[in-house]
Formats: sequence, C-alpha cells, structure tokens
Amino acid sequence: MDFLQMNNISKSFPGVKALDDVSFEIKSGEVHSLIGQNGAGKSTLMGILNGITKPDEGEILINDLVVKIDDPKDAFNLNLSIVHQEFALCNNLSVAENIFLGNEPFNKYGYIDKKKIKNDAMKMLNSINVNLDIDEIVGNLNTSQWQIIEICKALAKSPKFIVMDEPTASLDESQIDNLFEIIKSLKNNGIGIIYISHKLNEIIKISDRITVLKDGKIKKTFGKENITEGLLIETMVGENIENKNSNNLEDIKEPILKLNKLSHLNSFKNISFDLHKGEILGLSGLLGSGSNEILRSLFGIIELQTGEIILQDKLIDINNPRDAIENGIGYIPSDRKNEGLIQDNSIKDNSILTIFKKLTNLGFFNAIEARETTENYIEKLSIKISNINDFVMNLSGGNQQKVVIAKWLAKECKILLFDEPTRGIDVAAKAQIWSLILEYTKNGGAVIVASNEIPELIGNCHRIITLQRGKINRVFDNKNFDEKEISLNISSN
Amino acid sequence: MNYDFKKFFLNNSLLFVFFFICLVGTFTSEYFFTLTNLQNMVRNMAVPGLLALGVSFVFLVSRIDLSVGSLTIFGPILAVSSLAFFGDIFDFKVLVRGNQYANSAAFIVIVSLITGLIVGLLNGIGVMYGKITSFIMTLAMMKALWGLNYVLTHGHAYYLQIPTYTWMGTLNLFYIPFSTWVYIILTIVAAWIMKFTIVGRRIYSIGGDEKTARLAGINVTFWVILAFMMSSFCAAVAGILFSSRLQTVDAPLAVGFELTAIAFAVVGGVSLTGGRGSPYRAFLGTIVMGALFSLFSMWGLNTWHRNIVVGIIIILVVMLDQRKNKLGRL
Amino acid sequence: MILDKFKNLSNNSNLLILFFILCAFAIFISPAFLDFNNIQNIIRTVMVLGIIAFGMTMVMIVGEIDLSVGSIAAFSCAFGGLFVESGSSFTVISLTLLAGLLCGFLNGLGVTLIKVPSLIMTLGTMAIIRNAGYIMTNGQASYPTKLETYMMTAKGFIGIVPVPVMIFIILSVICAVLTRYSTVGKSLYVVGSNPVASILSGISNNRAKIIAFTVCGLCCSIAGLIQSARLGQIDPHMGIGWELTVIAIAVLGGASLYGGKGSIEGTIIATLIIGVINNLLNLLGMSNHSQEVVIALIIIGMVLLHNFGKKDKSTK
Repeated sequence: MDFLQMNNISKSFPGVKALDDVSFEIKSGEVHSLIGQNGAGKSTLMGILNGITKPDEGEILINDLVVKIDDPKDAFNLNLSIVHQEFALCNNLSVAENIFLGNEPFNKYGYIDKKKIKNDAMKMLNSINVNLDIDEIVGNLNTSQWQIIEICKALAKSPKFIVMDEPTASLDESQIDNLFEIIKSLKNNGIGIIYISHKLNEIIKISDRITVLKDGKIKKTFGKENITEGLLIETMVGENIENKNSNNLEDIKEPILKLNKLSHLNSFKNISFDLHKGEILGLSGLLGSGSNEILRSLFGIIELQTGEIILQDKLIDINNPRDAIENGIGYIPSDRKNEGLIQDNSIKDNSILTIFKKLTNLGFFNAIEARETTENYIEKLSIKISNINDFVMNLSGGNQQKVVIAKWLAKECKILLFDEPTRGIDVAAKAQIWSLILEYTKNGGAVIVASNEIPELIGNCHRIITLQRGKINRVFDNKNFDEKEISLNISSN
Repeated sequence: MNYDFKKFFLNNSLLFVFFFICLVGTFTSEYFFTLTNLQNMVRNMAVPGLLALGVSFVFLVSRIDLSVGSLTIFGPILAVSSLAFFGDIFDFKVLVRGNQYANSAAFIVIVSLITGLIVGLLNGIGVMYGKITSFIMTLAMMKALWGLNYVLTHGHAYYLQIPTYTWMGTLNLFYIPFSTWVYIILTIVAAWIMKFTIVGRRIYSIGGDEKTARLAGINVTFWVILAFMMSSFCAAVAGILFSSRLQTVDAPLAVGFELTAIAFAVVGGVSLTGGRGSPYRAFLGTIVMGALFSLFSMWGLNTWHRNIVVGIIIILVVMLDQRKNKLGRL
Repeated sequence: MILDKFKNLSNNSNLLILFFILCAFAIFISPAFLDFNNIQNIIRTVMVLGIIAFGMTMVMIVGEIDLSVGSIAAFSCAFGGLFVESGSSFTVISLTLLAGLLCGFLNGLGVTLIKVPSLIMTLGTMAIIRNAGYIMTNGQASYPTKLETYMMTAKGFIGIVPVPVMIFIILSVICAVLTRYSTVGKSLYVVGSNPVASILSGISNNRAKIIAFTVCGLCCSIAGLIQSARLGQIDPHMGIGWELTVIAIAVLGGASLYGGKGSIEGTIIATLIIGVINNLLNLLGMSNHSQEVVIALIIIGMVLLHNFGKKDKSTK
C-alpha cells in the first residue's frame, strides 16, 4: 500500500494566488478526482506534481518520506506518470514501439529485443482488457486508441500513481466506457489514479473520492456516497451570482446571421441558430464540444461539410478567412500570441493589419492615415501604451487583446466572433473587454462569444447556448440565466 | 493471402517500375541488356546510391544534408594532397602528380573516412548546438569544402594511378562490380541497424515527433548528430569508390551530387519531413533512378537533360508527399 | 556582455562601423586599397551580387529562401543571348529581364500554389533552369560585344558614375521604397513575421510570396546582364555558387532565415562589407576559392550570433 500526500501547498503567480494551502492525497487502488472551474488551480497543482511548477510552500510525501520533484524526470523516478491532455505519440511507429518509446530493452550491442517489446505490450494490453493490434502504425488509429496508448505509455514506466488530465475530452460514449473499464482494472492492479475532468457524470461514476478546488483553495472533499451532480456544482460554483443582466431581449429582433444545420466531421453536427443585430450570444461547452470549432468554421479556417450560412437574407459561401472578412465578419482568436497578433511588430502595424487596402494610395502605404487610425482606436479603447511604435509583445494581455479588437473595429465589421476573449487577462482588463463588447453591440454590431467563463457570460450575454459533443444542448434567455443550471448543462449528460 | 499480395505490390511498386524501365531499355536499345552495360549501370548506382542512403538518415530526423556532394571528393583530395605535402617534407616519392605515384591506399581510405565522420560531426554540432538551420549549415559546409577542394588541389587534377587503390573501381566479383558490393552490403547493414537496433528506433522516433521523443527522455541532440555522421560516412565511402573508379581527384568532380542523392532518396519514398523511409526505400529509389539514367544514356540524352529530370522529379515527389500530409488549411 | 553587443550587429549603424573598421584595416594592410581602380573594382564585382541580394532580402523577409538565383541569372541572360545576332540591344535586354521575371514567378507559383517548401522548390528549379540554359545554348557562350547599349550596362559612365553603380543605386532606391513605403512591402514583413495571423487578418500570403520571388527573379536577370556585359560574354555557366554569397549578404544585412526581418539599407551596407572583405582577401593574396570558405564561415558566424541567447529557435 503506497500513498502520496501533498501537504499545505501554496503557489503564487504575479497578481494571483493560484494555490492557497492545498493538501491532497492519493492511495494505491483509489481514484481520486479533482474538479473545479477554470482557474481553480487544478493545472497548477498537477504541474507541481509533475515537476514543471515549483511550489512556494508545502511539501510532497510518498509513504511518509519527503520527496523533491524538480523536473519531470524526478516524477518518473518516483513512479509517477502523467497522461497529458495532448497526445504525444510518434505517428510513424507501431503501437508497441510507442508504448516503450525511450525505455526499449536492448543489449549492449544496441540490439533491440523486439520479442520482449511485443510480449510486454501484449501483456499490458491484456491486463487492461484491451484488444489492439500491437504492430499497427499509430498514425492509422483513432483518438480513443491513442488515448489507450498514452495510458499504456504511462503504465510502461510501472507507475504507482497515474495522473489523468481530461482523458475523455476527445472520446465518444462507448470509448469512454472502454476507458473506465481500463481505469477499473488499473485500480485492481493497485495503481492510484488522480483523475481530472470537467465532466461530472464521469467523475461520479469513476471516483472513490472527489476534491473540489475553488479559487486556489480546497472547498471540500467528498466520499463516494450520496454524490449528485447538483451537489458538486453547488460546491464548485459556491454562491450563485445574482443575475444582474440588464440586456433587453426586445432590442434584438433583427436577425443578421442565420446558421442552418452546420456540420464539420466529428467536431459538430447540425448546428442551427440565429444571431441578431445588437446581440451578444454566448456559446459554452467543454473542450471537444465544438464551440470553438463553430467560430473557426464561420471564419473560414475549417471547412464545413454541410450547412448554410445566411447573412442578412443572403446565402454566403465562406471558404477562407478572406471571404469571411469581406462579408464583415471578424475573429478574435483564443491563441492571441500566435494567431491574433504579430508579436514583434508595432502596435500601429498590428491594429491596421485588416485595412491594408484602405490605406493604400497608388501602391503606397499611407503611414499618416495608419497612425491616425491607430491613435483613434487607442484612445477609443483606452489602450495603455507609451508609444504606438512599441512591440505588442511588451503589452499586458488585456492591452494585447484590445489591439486585436482594434484591428477589427478598424475594419468596421458587422459581426465579431470572440474565442475565449478573457483568457489570460487580469480582472480589471476583463471588465474593460466586456464593456468594449457591449459598446460594440450597442452600435449595432453582433457578437458571438465562445467561452467557459460562465459568470462572465451570464453578466453580459443576451442568450447562452450550451453545447455538448458538437450538439446544441439548450438555449438560455437572459431571464432564466442560472450559473448552476448552465454549468450542469455543460458538464453532465 | 490476396491482401498480402496487394500490400507487397504497393510497398514494392518501384521494383516493377525498375523492371519496366529495364524492359523499355531492352526493347529500345540493343546495348541495354548486355553484361557491360548492366555492370556499368549497377556500378554507376553505387556512388549516388550511397549518398542517397546517407542523406536518408538525415531526412529521417527531418533535416537536410546538402554537403554530401562536396564531401564525396573532399576526403580523397585531403588525403592525396596531404600525402603530396608530406612527401615534399620527408622527401619520399609519394607525389601523385605527373609521373610520380603515391603508394598508400590505406592512408587515403582511412583519412577519407575520418574526414567524413568529422564533417558530419561538425554539421551536427552546428545544427544542434549552434541552432543553425540544417540547410544553411550544410550549404555553408558544401561551399566551404568546395572552396577547400580548389585550394588543396590548386585547381589541377591529381591522378591516382595506384593499383592498390584503383582496383576498387574496376574489380568485378561474380560479375558484379566491387563498388556495387560495397553499396549493397552497406545498405543491408544500414537496414539491419535501422530495423533491429536502438539506433534505428531512436532515429525513427525523432523523425516521427521530436517533442514526443524529447519527452520520452531521448537524447535528441546525440541521435541527430549521429544521423549527420552516418550521412557523411556514407559520402566518404562513396568518395573512395568514386575516386578509385575515375583514378583521379579533382575539385570540379562530384559537384551537384547532393541533388542527385536527394532525388534518389525521395523517389524511393524517404520523406523530407522525417520519420518515413528506410535504407530499403533509398535502395528502391536508387535502382529506379539508376536504371532511368542508364536508359537516358542509351538514348543519347546527356547530363543536362538528366539534371532537368532530377529537378522536376524532386519537386513533383515533394509536392505529392505534401498533398498526402495535408493537414488543415492553414 | 560583449556578445550581447555583437548580437546587434544587424543593426545598421553597427554594420556601418564594421564597414569602416574593415576599410581602415584594409588601408593599413595595403595602401593600394584606396587606389581609385581598386575601389572601382570592388564596387563592380560586388554590385552584381548586391543587386541579387536585394531580391533575396525580400524573399527572406517573407520567410522563404531562393537557391536558384545563380541559375536564373545564367538562364535569363542566355535566353536574351539567343538574339544577340538578330536583335537590337533593346530586344535582348527586355527578353533577358522577361525571362528572369518569369523564372521568379515560377518559383513563387511553386511555393504558393503547389505548396512545395521554397528550399526544395528552388533547389529543384536551380537544376532545371540552369540545365535548360545549357540545352538552349548548347553550352556555348554568346558574345554581345556588338550591342552598344547592352555593353553600356557594365562599361558605360553617366558623368563620372559608372552605369552599373547607377543601376545599383536606382535599384536600391526602388527596392527600399518598395519594402518601406508600399503596401506590398508592408505585407512582406507581416507575412514573414506571422503567416497565420496575417491570413486571419485577410492578407494574401500567396500574393506577397509570389511578388517577392518575382522581384528576386528580376533582380537576378539584371545582375546577370551586368555581369555578362562586364565579361563581354554571355556564359550559361555564370553564377554557379552565387546563392551562398547572396544569402550571406542578406543575412549580414539583417535578414532572418525565419522571416519578417531585413532591410534594403542593411543589405546595401552588407554588400559593401562583403566587397571589402573579398578585396582584402585578394590583397592578402588569397585565391577566389579560399574566399568561398571565408564566406561560408561568415554566414555561419552571423547565424550563430543571431541565434545566440535565443532559446526556442528550432534546430531543424
């Protein structure tokens, strides 16, 4: 019987206390789940366990001995394996080769014992009751099989504890059942599992203990008995925020964009909704629910298989971002750093990216007008800068986001698509971003926001659409916004 | 059984292309199917084949090596010119110009091989520690060696008429030229290494996903440097065979071989993006292109036409490969 | 740290300082350096590569590379050279430029439409274009010595300024204006710095790339023209190995292999520096071929300085 304890862990990042006196433990043969809203501190805690993040205070003990985890290798040496959310596999190698990547048994002449690899891989797959061709090339398999291989990779290091970070994000129902069978057999083999997920029904199904984190503190740890999704939501959300939403649904009558049965591969199916002039529409769903992909397909980044997009009673075809932009649609990506901004260009150059054509006179670039336009928007959006020729990478997250917004306001778009607009931005700036969005819609613009920050959506949206597995789950009007209800609609089936 | 045959056919379709080219050759030229021509054909495959084998190691770790062409002749030139230099100093007749003969074949071979390994090491160090993009690093290496070739030879050819050396270029064993034997044996050894040893596994995993390999605790730096050294080693062996065949070392020889090597490898199915390909695939590419070249010379097409075909083939193959890997639209 | 200071070498003022240091050193080594003929010689030899470097700088700003520059120069001149007997100077020159333009355009199409990485595309066209030139001319040089205007491009004077220098100056102004003040130039930097963000802002990456390659092809043909006129023969073997020196000039001038950086001003100074270095090595009695080694070392050194202290650069 082994047990791992994290005692009184605290960690601060500039401006936030990510973890505050958190204690957490896990025993052999137990599934201990960790849940909490975005920013509750789950990933920081796991980063500490993996040696990526160093705690400010607190200690980690294994079987009552204090251990130091300074980098992922230490974690590995302590028989601690992590199954990451992203797949880290070599697509050109076989299943067995991937499982033993980096720990292949070989003799002193470098000769690999292929038989042993195959046998061990076979044994491992049998021990978790999985049927998989170990000679198949990984690139030919599907995501759920990749997930299994990731778990096997963790098992190959004969771990005592495994951390699973959102392992079901890309799996469908039957695949999830399959995974749970595997987890059960791991449990039976005496392995302790820390399970992180947003999906409450799964958590309840699989866990022996459930710990709820909120704002960097442990809110409560539940045993196995009498757990309901409602109770978990209650604990996670805490006080229900007051519905102060003052938007008037009467204001939004004139539809500007109609989506009719949009589908894209596995990301989403038969999505239909209307967007009205002056409306802020929230799309909320977990990773893999398709909310971000819907925005990306509207902007022409990913190709739609079927469906119609009707803009102001006209059927339009969006095949690439240029089509979308010409139709007056702008997109504020969640990956600000790589997709939104050119980091080592100036604020000025970034805020006029979309209006090159307008600023061109006989092929020459009208630098004066560019400067005026930029200064105009810097003032309008109150972007705090010392000089418009500074690089955007030196700005704070909030100001960077404002530069991205300025770029689309300059283009005078009719519709803006926001993908996680407040990710990585401090509280004050979040409020400013939302007030910018509000002002934009007051002037007749329409906005779709894909976000998981439910309190923010509740405070600002006219309607919220919850999504699950690429399908619309429910549409809330601002009169019946309720954080727990919405959270429940997102994270359980 | 049926399925296996289909798989075999798909994996080895280049073999059929090879036979087809030979067939075309036999029907269009009476000389094609003669022992002399076939011997020439397989002998001419050896040098570009070895280079293709070498660069495919570098391709497998998703990098590129442009220095192999210059390196091919650099080893023998360095060896011969240093023999000439020391001969002057110690006053023994090893000078190779004019009517004087060098007499140390072993010296040339050893110096060439060591030079090859050192050049590969430098390429690898520049790429991994200096973080210089591999094509710039090896392009600079190619030019530097090219310049050195001229400096060392003073722009004149050295004649290498040492029987203990030149036999490698002329000897036939069981009707098959010695160079071809060397090429085939090295290919088999390389295939074994890549398939059954840790070297191959590491190289494939780095080419498959370098980040994953790094996460799995694999010393990427070491294995990439090794891949560059394997490439340069093959180039050095090719250089020995090449110079022993021509019985000459001269700076302008072997210029542009890197392009041929890349073409041979990619035609065989070694991917420039890493992780896909094998010594066997490089071999398939070599026999197909070698047969094609032989056919061209039967038809009286010269190197100019050949080089155009090489250029077009490289672009086409990479284009098709790119299509196959098309991921998303951005 | 001294090395930190060196990192800013791509900064134009530092480049100028380097240039003057090298000049001073050269004068110290050999007073013959200051000789009018010698200076003219430097300028004439390096100008040709400098002109190509303008094109290369643009291609590198947009984040690509062109290895086929020497081949384009040779091919376009050879193409014009087919008409030395029958055509006027005007025909020959315009056909040369047209050929260069088309070759560059072809590279651009390959990189954008069929999406072959520029390294491979131009490696391929390097072989194709050069050998097409050989086949076209049967490997023979042609002699434009009878065409007066053609010869003027290298041998003529406008006042006391040699025509090639004039061409260099005019081209540098055009290219500088193009990269600095035109919308196209602006988009070159944007596309090179972050191709994803630029697509998502509605900028056409393909157009920027095709323009850069086409301008580069045009620059190659102009350079080839001057070189042919200077030597009095149009040689299809011209320009073998130019690509490395040209890349060296562009990188020395501040262009980055990763795109988004570089300037024509920097390239001009870098051209002069390479010219002085070449001349210095000549004065020191080094052969042309050993200079090739020095150029290779310079480019490696520059990239090393550029990368120094940057952790997340790829090692591909």
